[in-house]
Amino acid sequence: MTTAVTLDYILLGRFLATAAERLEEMRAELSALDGEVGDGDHGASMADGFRAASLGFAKAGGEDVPAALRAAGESFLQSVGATVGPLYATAFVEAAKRVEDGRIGLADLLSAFNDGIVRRGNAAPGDCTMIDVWDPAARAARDAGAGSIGAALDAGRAGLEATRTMIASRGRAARLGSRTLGQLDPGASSAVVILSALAEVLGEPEARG
Amino acid sequence: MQRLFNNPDDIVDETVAGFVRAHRDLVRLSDANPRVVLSHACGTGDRVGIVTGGGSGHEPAFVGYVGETLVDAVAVGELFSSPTAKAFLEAIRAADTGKGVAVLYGNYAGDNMNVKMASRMAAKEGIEVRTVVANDDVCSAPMADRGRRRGVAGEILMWKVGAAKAATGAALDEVQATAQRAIDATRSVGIGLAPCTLPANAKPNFEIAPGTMEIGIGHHGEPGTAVTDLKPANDVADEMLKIILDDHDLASGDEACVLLSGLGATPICELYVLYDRIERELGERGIGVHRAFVGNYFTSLEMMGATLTVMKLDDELKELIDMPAASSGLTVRSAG
Repeated sequence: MTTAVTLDYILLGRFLATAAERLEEMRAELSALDGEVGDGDHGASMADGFRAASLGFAKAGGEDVPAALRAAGESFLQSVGATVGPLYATAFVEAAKRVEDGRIGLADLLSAFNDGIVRRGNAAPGDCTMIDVWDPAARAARDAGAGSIGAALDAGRAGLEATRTMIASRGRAARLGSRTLGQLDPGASSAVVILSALAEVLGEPEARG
Repeated sequence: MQRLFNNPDDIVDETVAGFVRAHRDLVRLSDANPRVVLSHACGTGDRVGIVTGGGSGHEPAFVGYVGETLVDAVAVGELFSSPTAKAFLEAIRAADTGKGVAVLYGNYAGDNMNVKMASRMAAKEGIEVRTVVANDDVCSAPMADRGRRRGVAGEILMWKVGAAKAATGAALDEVQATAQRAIDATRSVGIGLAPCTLPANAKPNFEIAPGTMEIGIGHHGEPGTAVTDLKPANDVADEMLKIILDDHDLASGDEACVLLSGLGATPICELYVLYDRIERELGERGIGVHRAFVGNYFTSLEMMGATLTVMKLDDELKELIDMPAASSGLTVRSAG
């Protein structure tokens, strides 16, 4: 029996800062991936968005964690349009609702991200979107009981790999139809970068890469 | 990469700054949001406000259609990326005179979400908002699935008609219905001869092999329906026209407004070569061209190729297309 993994203001702040850093490193690669199937703006949108979210979260301070998460979403929305602006902004707003006593459980955080993004974008698993990472990751974290980031990351990576065999039906990549076959979905790829950053912060070995 | 920029991250800010300087007789920058461009008449008079927005890299779209009896406020996005919901919200606020705002934009996932969020936020502030989503790009989805079709250069004709209707003092519902009728009467098709490159990415998003062309290509290089050998201009014109006429209910005796736009790197003279054939072929079918616009109206960075847009006119659409209007991208002086 392990204790449930929860994140407080400090850990959430580290998570956002690390995700911003890793997305910045992946900026060109994610945009190139998006160029194959969409319009090529994904790397810039994600790197800029998480940097803004991280700064907004830090600026809000730790007194009121839900308010800080809402500020992160607000900053994301202020900084980034694209599709990911509304999607991740809603993810942060959803996460804010699930904070209790200044902490949020790992499984709750991942479920909130998944639920917020689904609510805004109306995508379902199998549509070849970031939901193909967030949905299995959230499920794995819940099933692991105490909330294991390792299990969530593994499930997310498997979901990312599965997007190669899917035909996009949402987002701008949807216009490509069958030509998305064999390609990793850019939104799913950046979702795994975010999950890896979370694993890195929670001290999961081999989280990088 | 043979391109002119400083830092790729600054391209949009510098584009907007240069645009507002160059066209200060027509536009100004919003004080509240540096990614919102306003016409001088924005927010004045007793009329419905007209708002649009979209990614940068399509100039003169979208900022180039801010002007007199045209768009009141435009939300500006990063290159090929939807503007923020906040920018759309500020554009809506600025354009409202109390009579409501029509947001007329193109069918892309990001724009749909950001406009929806902005509309909801505006409604909470008591501003009435209606939207019309352009879906004129024939090759992006079958007719039966028209809701999934992209919006391309047909948006310009939708803005022209919507803004002219608003200028008559029509109510928000009427402006929305008329803009909807305008886009419903419009079809577009694109052909690509060479790809485009986002400066930050340093290499093209996709390939078009030399000697070939891609039929049905989208405004960001979204793949079309076929890749064929590059043919002489007349054959290309015929191919584009066939795609539109097969999808449209244009018949002998009808009148049309035609917009032929370059995608950025195609010489303007080649657009006229295409246009000559297009108007003659329409004439052969008994379809008259009431008014034509030929030039770089809606580009995709330095993509090579063209888009053809045909709007079927009725008496009201004709009158609204003919209403004088002025912007840097489109000027109409008198009846055609």
